[in-house]
Amino acid sequence: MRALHSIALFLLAGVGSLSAQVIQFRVQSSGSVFAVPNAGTLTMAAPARGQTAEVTVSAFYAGAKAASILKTELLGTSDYALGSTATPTLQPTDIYSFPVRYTASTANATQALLVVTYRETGGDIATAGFGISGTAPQVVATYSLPSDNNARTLASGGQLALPPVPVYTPAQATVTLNNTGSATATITGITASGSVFDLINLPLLPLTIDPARSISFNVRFQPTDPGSLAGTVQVNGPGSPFVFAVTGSAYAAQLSYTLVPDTGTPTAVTANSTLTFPSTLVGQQASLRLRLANQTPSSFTLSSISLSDSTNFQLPTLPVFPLILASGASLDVQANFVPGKGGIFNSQLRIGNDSILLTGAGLSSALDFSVVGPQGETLIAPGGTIPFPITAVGTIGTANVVIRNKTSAPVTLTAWSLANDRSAFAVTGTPQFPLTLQPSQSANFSVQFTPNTTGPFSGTVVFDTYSYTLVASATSPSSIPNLTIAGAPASVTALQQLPLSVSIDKVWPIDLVGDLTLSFDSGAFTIDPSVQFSTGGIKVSFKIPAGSLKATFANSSTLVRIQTGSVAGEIQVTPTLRTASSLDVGPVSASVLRLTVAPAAPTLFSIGLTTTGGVYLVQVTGISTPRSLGHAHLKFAPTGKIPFGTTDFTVDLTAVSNAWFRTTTSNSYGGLFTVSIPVSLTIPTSLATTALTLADVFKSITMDVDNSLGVSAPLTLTVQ
Amino acid sequence: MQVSGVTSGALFDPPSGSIRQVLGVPGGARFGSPIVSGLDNAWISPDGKSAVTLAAGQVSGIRIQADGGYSTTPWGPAPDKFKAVWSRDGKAAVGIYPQEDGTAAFQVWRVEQSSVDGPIPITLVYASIRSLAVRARTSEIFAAVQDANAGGLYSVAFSGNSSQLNSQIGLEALALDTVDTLLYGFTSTGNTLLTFNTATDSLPVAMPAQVSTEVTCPCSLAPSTDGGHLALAYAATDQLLVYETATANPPAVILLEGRPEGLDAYGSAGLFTLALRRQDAASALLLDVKSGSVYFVPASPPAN
Repeated sequence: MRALHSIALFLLAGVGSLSAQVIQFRVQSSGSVFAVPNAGTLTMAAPARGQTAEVTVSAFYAGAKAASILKTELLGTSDYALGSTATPTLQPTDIYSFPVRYTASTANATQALLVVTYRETGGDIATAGFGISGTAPQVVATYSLPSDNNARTLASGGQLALPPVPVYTPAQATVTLNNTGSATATITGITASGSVFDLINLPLLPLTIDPARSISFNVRFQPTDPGSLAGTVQVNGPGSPFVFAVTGSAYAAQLSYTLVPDTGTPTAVTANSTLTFPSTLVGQQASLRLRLANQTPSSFTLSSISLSDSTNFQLPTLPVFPLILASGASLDVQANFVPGKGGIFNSQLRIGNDSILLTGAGLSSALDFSVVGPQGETLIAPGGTIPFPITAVGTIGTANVVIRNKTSAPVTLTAWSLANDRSAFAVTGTPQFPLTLQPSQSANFSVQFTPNTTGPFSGTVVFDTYSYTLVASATSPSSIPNLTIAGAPASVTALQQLPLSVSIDKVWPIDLVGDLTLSFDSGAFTIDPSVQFSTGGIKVSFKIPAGSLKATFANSSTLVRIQTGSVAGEIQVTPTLRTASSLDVGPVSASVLRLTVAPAAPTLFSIGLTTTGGVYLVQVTGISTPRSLGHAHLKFAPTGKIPFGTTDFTVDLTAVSNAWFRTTTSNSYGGLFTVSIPVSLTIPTSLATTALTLADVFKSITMDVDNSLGVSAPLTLTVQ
Repeated sequence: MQVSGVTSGALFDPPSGSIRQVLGVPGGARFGSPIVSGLDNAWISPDGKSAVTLAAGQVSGIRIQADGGYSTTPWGPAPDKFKAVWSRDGKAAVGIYPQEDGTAAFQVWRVEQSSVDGPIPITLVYASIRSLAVRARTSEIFAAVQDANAGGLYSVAFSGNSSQLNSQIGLEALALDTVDTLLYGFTSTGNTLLTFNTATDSLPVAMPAQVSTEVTCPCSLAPSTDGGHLALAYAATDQLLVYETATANPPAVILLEGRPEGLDAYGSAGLFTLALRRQDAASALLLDVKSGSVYFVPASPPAN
């Protein structure tokens, strides 16, 4: 039983008052039970026209007394039948059931009324009931042929006749299934028989077709041999299967076709086949030669040869038509492919009643340039852009490029060039040029993007006539190398000249430049101007070439010397690091080199004796890193030729030392000093008339100098 | 009694084209302010008090005052290939240059005079003169000449008269000692350092040598200002030899960081200026033979 139906409320004409609801209806259909209200409608759908739908109606007494069923009627056409005419008396909650059948004599919807007449104890005669709408689906088939697309009726058991075609030439018709009935039709299967017939464009089955709706599919005939052929198509839907015959006929081709290459073996070609031209550059031409032969025992009149696309294909050498080919005679037809632009082109080559599809790919360039990425190769149009990933300064972005010859002939590239933006791009891995690529052969190269500053970059790489724009963008470096200044111990002494070197802990792909700057923090509250680099001044530049760990200074040396000076204090060597384009890659302050010159007792360098205007000056030169002096100690070694009084003297230098080291002039000399001590000789009166030299008085003078940290080693001057 | 700074001498500073005092001592020295600027070249006397300068095509004699000023004695236009040689005592400078016929001519400047003698032509071929040593006290020039026919050691009087003292040796470099008595000469014949006693005209005495047989010249020979050391530099190796003139000890070998191109006595005892083919950019080099160390004087000096 196929009956599931919507229930709609409407007033049932002639049925008693709705207030008398003591009789209520339930309907059981296909295992389900549902209520049908009084004056409602029950839809009963027959599976098909001529078939029956049946439900069981249960009348439920909802009153508190007793109800006597006086009559049960089904008012409508003879398509409706009532299975019971019993007149039971129903006690409260009693049910009176009876079958109702609908046998669809039409696919149109019909109406009926079910009326139950009853009298409740002590009450009047009343009625209860509902309307019944009887429906049924009906599938009607039509078909059309491509030649006119006219709809033709197709009855079950009927025939669909396809037009005659040459062998290997398909013919097809479109079959449409229309539901002209009043119920939804279900199609469970559509099948075809016959090896040369098949169905195409079938919808997914099973499916339903609502009333006044349709579906379509195609029946195709693909003959491989001459003759008449028949098959069937069966549609399983409402009612009996809808079966119709399909007929088609095929005739043998009258012409044979052979593809004749310039060299090599000719190849047989069938009508309705496809001939593919080699991929051809726009503006260039590819050709093929097709030989037509009359294979019938009599002469054959060829009416015409034409192309459906005569823009990208050409037939340059056609004879005058009609052309009579004697039996066994042949005609060579040249077809050219002359693509006007890039893309795939097709053209039907019509030879009399036969047709052969010509197809070819037009190439806008002989070479394909593709960028290889994680998702595979991406074709770059000629003149297009080769993109780079966003690259941080100090790293390398790479675009791997594949050049592929997509033509059927060798292609030679003679040279390449690179127009570069700020020298950020470099082409690597190029094969030897000139480069000849055989058909389908490819070559690989890479373009490396090594930015030395942030921002956008562009360039152009050109391979003969193929030009591509390089587009890249650089961001700030994400990791910077650590810089080390080496070559000096932490504790140094004054007057040292130390070689320094600068290195980084990882190579960078671009040149780095930087400076070393000296600063001096003195406990003596002065700046020692002799604390300098050998190159002069307190700042020296260096360069760390790309790929190198070592810095080079002036004169291509990896060393630069510094002078520790003559004043106690801390020398700081502070590096900076940046790219050649002045992009700071710091900070590198952690790499500051600190050299400590400790305060120390004086050191003497030289001692001398001069005379000016009869006054002797003992002069010593030396260094006192705290820039202070305490005392000078002089010891005269007498010759013994003359009596000598005191031989040891201590001279307090504190005052003159303080006075000197507080002057601006003294800053130029740091902790270096010259102490000049005048020496006066008092000759005894008894020897005053004797010509004496200093050598007659002293053999030598020995002197040392002290400061708060100690006393210097003595220096001795031999008097001659 | 006073305390003051330390100035070790004066140098010609090619980058700045000036003569500058060197403040401090080797290891802690630096250039002071320019004394004379705008120079193309300068030859400074061993005592650092005078200089022969070349500027704008003119040669001049400069006397440096104690206060940093200077006085000038013009020599005249600078001849091509002009070079100057000082006497050890700094009292005379000789400028020598080639004449059109290839023979040499020279000028003499006695520092205490305000005029220059010459030019004085001599018969020696300029290109054959390898080295000169000037002795102001006797108004003569010693010349080492390499010539197939007339090579040897010559004495050329400031008047222009010359005489050949020795014809057997191929001298490459000459230097007088500090008292202008001993004449040192290096000969590439046998790579030998010879000593002449000019007071006695004694035969040359060979000093102990430690010279590679591969020595090639040009060579430089200079005694220290105190006469205690004699330094020999030659262009073949990165080293130089230092003799103690008072002993017969073999010379000390001082390794350098480049090929020496010349040296001269400088400032106080035991110091030499040194020119190397490879050195830190534009810095001057001072050799302290006592410690065997080479010190730089930082280049590109600040103004003060």
